[in-house]
Amino acid sequence: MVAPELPELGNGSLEKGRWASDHRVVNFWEGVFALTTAILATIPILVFLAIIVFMVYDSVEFFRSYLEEGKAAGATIWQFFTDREWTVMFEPPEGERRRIGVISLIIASSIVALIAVAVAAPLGVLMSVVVTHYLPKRLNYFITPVLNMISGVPTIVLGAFAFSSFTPALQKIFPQIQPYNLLVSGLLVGLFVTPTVLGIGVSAINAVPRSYFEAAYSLGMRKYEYILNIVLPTVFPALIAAFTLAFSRAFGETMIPVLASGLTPQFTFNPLQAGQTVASFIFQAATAAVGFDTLEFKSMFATGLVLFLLTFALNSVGNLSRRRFAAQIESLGVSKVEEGTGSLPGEETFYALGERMTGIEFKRNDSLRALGGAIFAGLSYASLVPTFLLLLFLTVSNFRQGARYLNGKFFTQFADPDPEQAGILAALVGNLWLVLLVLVILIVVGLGAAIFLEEYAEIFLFKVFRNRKVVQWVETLLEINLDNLSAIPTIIYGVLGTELFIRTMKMGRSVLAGTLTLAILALPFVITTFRASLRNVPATLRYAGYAVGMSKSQVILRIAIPYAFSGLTSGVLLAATVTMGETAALGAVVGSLGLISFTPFNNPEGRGPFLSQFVTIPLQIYIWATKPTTEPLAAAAIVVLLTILLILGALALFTANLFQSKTYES
Amino acid sequence: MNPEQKTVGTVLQGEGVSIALEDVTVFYGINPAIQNVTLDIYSNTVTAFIGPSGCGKTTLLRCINRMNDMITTTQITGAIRVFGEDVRKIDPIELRRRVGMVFQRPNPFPTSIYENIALGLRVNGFRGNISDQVEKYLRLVGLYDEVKDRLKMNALQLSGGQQQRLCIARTLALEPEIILMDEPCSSLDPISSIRIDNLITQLKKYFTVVIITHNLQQAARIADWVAFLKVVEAEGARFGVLGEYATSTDFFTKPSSIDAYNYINTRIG
Ligand SMILES: Nc1ncnc2c1ncn2[C@@H]1O[C@H](COP(=O)(O)OP(=O)(O)OP(=O)(O)O)[C@@H](O)[C@H]1O
Ligand SMILES: [Mg+2]
Repeated sequence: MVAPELPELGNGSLEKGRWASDHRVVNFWEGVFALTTAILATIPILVFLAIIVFMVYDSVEFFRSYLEEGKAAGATIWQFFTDREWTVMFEPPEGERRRIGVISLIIASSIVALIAVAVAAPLGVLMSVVVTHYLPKRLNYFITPVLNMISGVPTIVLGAFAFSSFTPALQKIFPQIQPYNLLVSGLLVGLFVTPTVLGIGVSAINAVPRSYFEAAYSLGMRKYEYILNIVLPTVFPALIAAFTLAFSRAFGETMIPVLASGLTPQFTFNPLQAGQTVASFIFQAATAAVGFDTLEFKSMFATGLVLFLLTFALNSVGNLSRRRFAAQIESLGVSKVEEGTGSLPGEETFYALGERMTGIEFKRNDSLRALGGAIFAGLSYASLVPTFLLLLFLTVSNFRQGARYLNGKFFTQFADPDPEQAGILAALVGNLWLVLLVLVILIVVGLGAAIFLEEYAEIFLFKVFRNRKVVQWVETLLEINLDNLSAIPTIIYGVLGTELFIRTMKMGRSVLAGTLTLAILALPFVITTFRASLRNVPATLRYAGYAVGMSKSQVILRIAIPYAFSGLTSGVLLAATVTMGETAALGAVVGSLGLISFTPFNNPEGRGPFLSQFVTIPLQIYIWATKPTTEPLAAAAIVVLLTILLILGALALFTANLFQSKTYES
Repeated sequence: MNPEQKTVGTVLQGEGVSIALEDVTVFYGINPAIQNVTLDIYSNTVTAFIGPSGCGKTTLLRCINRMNDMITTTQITGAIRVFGEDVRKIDPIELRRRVGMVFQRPNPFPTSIYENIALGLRVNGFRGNISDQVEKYLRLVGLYDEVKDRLKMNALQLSGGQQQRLCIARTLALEPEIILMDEPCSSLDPISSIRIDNLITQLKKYFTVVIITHNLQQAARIADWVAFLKVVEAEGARFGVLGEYATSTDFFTKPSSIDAYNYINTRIG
């Protein structure tokens, strides 16, 4: 072994003067950077406050106008809780009052959400089992994204499918089903929220310590016995959390009930009848052509507040218990083998397993057990079927219906009363323009906020509170708040956008208002994914940066962000799919949906691309899908939208995998 | 080892103090990691920190270039002086250029080989020619000939030993006065490891090297001084203290404490 010869370093090599960087300058920029990210990070908090302030303020306004209008008819606030009917949209006859029994809306939402959970819970759990324990790993890379795809389908598409295909098909079998009904909403919303259960289920099951598996098998359990007796009981708290979150999501889902359950509020417990949910009423009020000062307009804040509080409570419970479970299972899996502690490897998990095992008797009947295994496996695989079928139906039926219109003309013409002359140019350009603007905002604000929360918040909070417990508590609170914000029904953001950007800031029902609304809608989700990508950057890599004299912002900008780049990109692409397909919130911003036959770049009023009116593909679908003559146009537009989303989704997946294959050897 | 090198080592030994630790105690939260370490590290020597796992070697090393600042729970008392200056008074950015660090696992930036070295030069505002400096230090660690045709290649594609030498080159290119190394060879194969040992013995001509190692042969081979840290238990807490500090020859031939004796013999024997 020859030692490398040390070359002469030469005189003056070790002089300080060769290093021009001045730490005062570096530290100045460091401060500027940290401050900027801190300011950006306050935006989600401001959004949260704005939601509460506007909702409460305008709810008060609602009750005030209600009391004034119904004074003669003996209106009181309590009728909000005691009335059975909800007739806010109808002008009352002389001497009478409107009925404001929000309970009828809540019941309808609950029926939809309960049916949805009844669908999503078993399907989601069984899917998680298949994905984690039955399917070969390689197949999973393909199957899991497909299963998740359903929650990426814009709900307007599912709603249109429910109304025009699913209900008619069901009516052939059960003639007593109404054309508009809650059942179909529930079923489709259920499939739509299944990925929520699947996602939490898979990560919970994967967190079950491997030693459980080894112990169970060494005790002669079969796979299904292991899953039923050990895995599922272990992850039960996480599943309950998942069901809660799924319920909340279903409760606030807007476009499916709007299209499939009708817009007439009814006090009914019968899922075969039509009914209006809280969210679908808000959508109706927001898109009705009413003035800002009318009772109808204000009613969406009162109902919005109800929806916000209910979903917020559910999400908080769900997210908290999900966290608690994650912390618990982490401590279960770790068997401490530090020297001197005296505990044997695996001892703790062994005892934990022992507790689970006590209920299991010796079952001698082997053929019965084999049958059990087969049935369980069959059921698990069967859980994949509904989602696949739905995706297949969606594609095939829309393609067949819309095929006639899918030609070059469709892309170069504007919407038109004559279906033969109609196209989606305005919607396509409007949609892409809006998404582009939203992404710019999301990248700047989302990245800034994510950097602050992930890199600076802890130190900052510690400086403020000087107590580690309090800091942790505040951080958890912030994170749960972010999780909650990203699970708030999107229609609430629509209502907020209308009030904040259109009414207060007077932006008009413009591209700008739509962009900002979508941006605050997607921001919590984007921040969360960006944070996860930054957290993935190995600590040793950051240390390497510090060790060569980088400042914190340099480590972030030159090391962490380049390393996390593909993760960040995939987050941006996912945000693009979310904003591309968003219907409810934009519907509220656009208000009364009319015929838009111009793009933001050549609008007739000459307002410029930011203040122009606009339409997007999902909104165009809504307009078309609600009229029988234009239904095939809606189908054609759905095909276009789904194609764009599929491309974006595939790109997101591709970049995310790029990230995974470039693992850093640490 | 060539005799000339050796004299350089001995002549310079004790000539100046590079790092002075005075009564250094470090806590992680409420748990003490090391207590009351007082120690002078001499210029242009290789000093090895050895001792059982968890005795606080890494902790102590990371105090010297203030890498422990990154962990918000640490509390450090006592004084640490680098070339007579209190490290708390030096800006960490400047300090870390002057006190380089090489880590246990090679951690090249996931960029090109060239960029790995150039990045550090750029952030520190290097006034000279960057590509010359890159080449010079790649040569110094004996990597240049191996990679000269693929400087644009991602550094993660190098072998572990090459990555570690790249990390050393990255550190040296900043022309620090002190180099801290935390088990730099522990994840390497024996051949790569010996190459790095040879490099280190030559480096002390220009730099002061502090190295943590679990490999006593390595310590005996390259170190001029050995600081042995041991774990003590007091009042229910376990923490490290300085057990012995002596020249390498003295330490390995006549350790003065029974702990050091036991440590050497269980390791070697
Ligand atoms: N970031 C940290 N937070 C809390 N405690 C820590 C942290 N880093 C180290 N410790 C604790 O400080 C003590 C000393 O750790 P240190 O890593 O300095 O030991 P070491 O001598 O380098 O061990 P090894 O030889 O295994 O690398 C240990 O008890 C360890 O658990
Ligand atoms: Mg260590």
